[in-house]
Amino acid sequence: MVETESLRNTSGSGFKVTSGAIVCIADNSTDMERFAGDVTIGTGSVLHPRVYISANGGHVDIGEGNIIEEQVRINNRLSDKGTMVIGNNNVFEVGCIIEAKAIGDNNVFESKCYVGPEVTIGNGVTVGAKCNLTAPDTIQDLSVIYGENCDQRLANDKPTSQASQREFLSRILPNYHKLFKPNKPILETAALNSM
Amino acid sequence: MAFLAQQEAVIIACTCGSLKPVCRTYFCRHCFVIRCGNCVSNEVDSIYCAFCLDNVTCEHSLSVRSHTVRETTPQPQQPPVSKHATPSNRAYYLACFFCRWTSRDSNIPDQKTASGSWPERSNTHSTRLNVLLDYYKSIGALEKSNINIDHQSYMKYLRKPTHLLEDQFGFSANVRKQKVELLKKKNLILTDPHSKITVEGSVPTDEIEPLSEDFITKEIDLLSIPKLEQRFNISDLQPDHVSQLMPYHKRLMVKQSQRCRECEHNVCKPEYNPSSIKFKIQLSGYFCIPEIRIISYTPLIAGQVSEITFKICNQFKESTTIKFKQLPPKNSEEDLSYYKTLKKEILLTDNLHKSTILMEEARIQEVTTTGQLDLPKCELVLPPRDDAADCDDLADNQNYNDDPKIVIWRKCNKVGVRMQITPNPDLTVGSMVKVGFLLNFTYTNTLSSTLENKQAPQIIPVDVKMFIDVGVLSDETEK
Repeated sequence: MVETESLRNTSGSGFKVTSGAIVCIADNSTDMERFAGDVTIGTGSVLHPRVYISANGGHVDIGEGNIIEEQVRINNRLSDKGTMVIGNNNVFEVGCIIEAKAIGDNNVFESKCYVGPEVTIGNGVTVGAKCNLTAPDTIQDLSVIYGENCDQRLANDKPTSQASQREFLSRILPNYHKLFKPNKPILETAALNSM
Repeated sequence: MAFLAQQEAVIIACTCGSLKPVCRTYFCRHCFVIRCGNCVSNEVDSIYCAFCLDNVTCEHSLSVRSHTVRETTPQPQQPPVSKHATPSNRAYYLACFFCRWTSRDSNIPDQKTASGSWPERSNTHSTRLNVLLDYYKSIGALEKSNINIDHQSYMKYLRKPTHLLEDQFGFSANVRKQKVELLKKKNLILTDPHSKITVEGSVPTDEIEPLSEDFITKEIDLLSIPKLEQRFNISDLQPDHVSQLMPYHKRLMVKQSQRCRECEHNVCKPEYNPSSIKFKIQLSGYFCIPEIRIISYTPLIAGQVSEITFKICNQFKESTTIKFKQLPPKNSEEDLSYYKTLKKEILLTDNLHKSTILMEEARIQEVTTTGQLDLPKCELVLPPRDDAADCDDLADNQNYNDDPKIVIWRKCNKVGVRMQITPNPDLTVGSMVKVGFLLNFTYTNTLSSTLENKQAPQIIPVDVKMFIDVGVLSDETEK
């Protein structure tokens, strides 16, 4: 934990992955373009291949224990060039686009949803598949956004824990994918892989 | 494809008298007549849930599973039953994976079994509703009982104003006796003390609970108020807080097959499995009856001859010979009496176990044509449908002795036919020009030859009434 913190503080250039995070990289050179700018990924987070994270507008700080699935785009487009902070234990399902101001803990972003740059997400929020959040808003804790009209309701409990899924992925993914070695710049690793 | 064929410009008169586009008809290859949805008997094949496609196969499991299958969340989603499992003490609750609603949100206690005896909510007005239902039932029973008045004759009596003239001219003793009898019967029903059930009318009240003081100033929490749609789904309770939302019943869907009324052969049969979209539809009218489409026509002017081009297409796998005949002016007596024998059975199911069959009268539709079509006298031979030939541009070596004035072009199983059309002279501008003719085509019965082998296939001429909405009558001056 201490190590993570220190790494986050020193993050100021390039792509930083704390030990314990699993970042899959696809086996081609264009893959490096997927991580642009200053990105920090916390312990225990799992990034599937083909995840696009762009920190050109400012830092992107991803916390611990997140699952980020294929084709997810996380894009810092904040107007004040501030840091986009993503909390812990969130799940980003296939194809969602996240440009949120801040994201708390234990949220689920279902497939193909979109969270715009003026939105702040609390804790335990579920954004349903193909739901678009574009208006400036703060989504309160335990909200569920679902359906084609983006209906909102409050759940009683936070979404079920993804710990077992994360454990499964961290066991399976290294068997079939090339992984990004923590604490090394991505360019170097890609070069090693291609050798 | 279905969209093209479902256009109601070209309509076929079914054997039962109703009018349908060709893809909504069936052709029974045993009786050689056209059938439609109104004149076939329907048969329930399988019952299933439209949301989770759970197939409910037999009556027994239907009653056992009716709770789980029909239970759904307040929002219209399917009802996956999740296990909340601890090995020793396993309990079940309902959860919707779409909006994350669970039965715990509404304080519904967890159940021990998955198919569970989920509590039914009770209607607060159920006693009142039952009283009213009993009352209406008793009225219904009275009307049907043996002292009931002959309703028709009573209505006839009311409609005739002769009883008003009684004072002026007087009645014969016979008529007066009838009248007294009728009135007696009527009074008997309304005043019979034995069979009368009294119902207290609901009493209006002026006392309404006053609104709380902060009703207007209080900030509204939209997340705790159910939406109108959610309230109306539970119309008897109309909850005003989301925690009171309850699962409501969904109707099950039915897959049914259609049978010809006369020979009882299937004309349309779906597969039992609810997730399967396969149908046995070789007997769809679309594949047996030559299809007619309008290609083009010159502007239609009242009383003047215009030119119209049709495409006629044989979708059947045997060749056919078609002839055009003039339409008989009206439905003949014989036809009408036949139509009346074809009543549609409607199966009404009020709950899972009780069902009643209603008979619906045949829907006889008269069509008045507003134009004259100059029908070609010659026969047209259409080759069978050949999917491969559609891609072959060179296969034009057909030798049909066609009149070039009538047949414009031919391609595989399709033929372009030109005809003269004359809208009626008294037609107003802007009204639809409708023409009709009797299409006579030959149907080759391949069934008989395959069954008894060496026999040559039977060729049966079939008459179909066709009605075509050609287009709108245009103004002469616009030309």
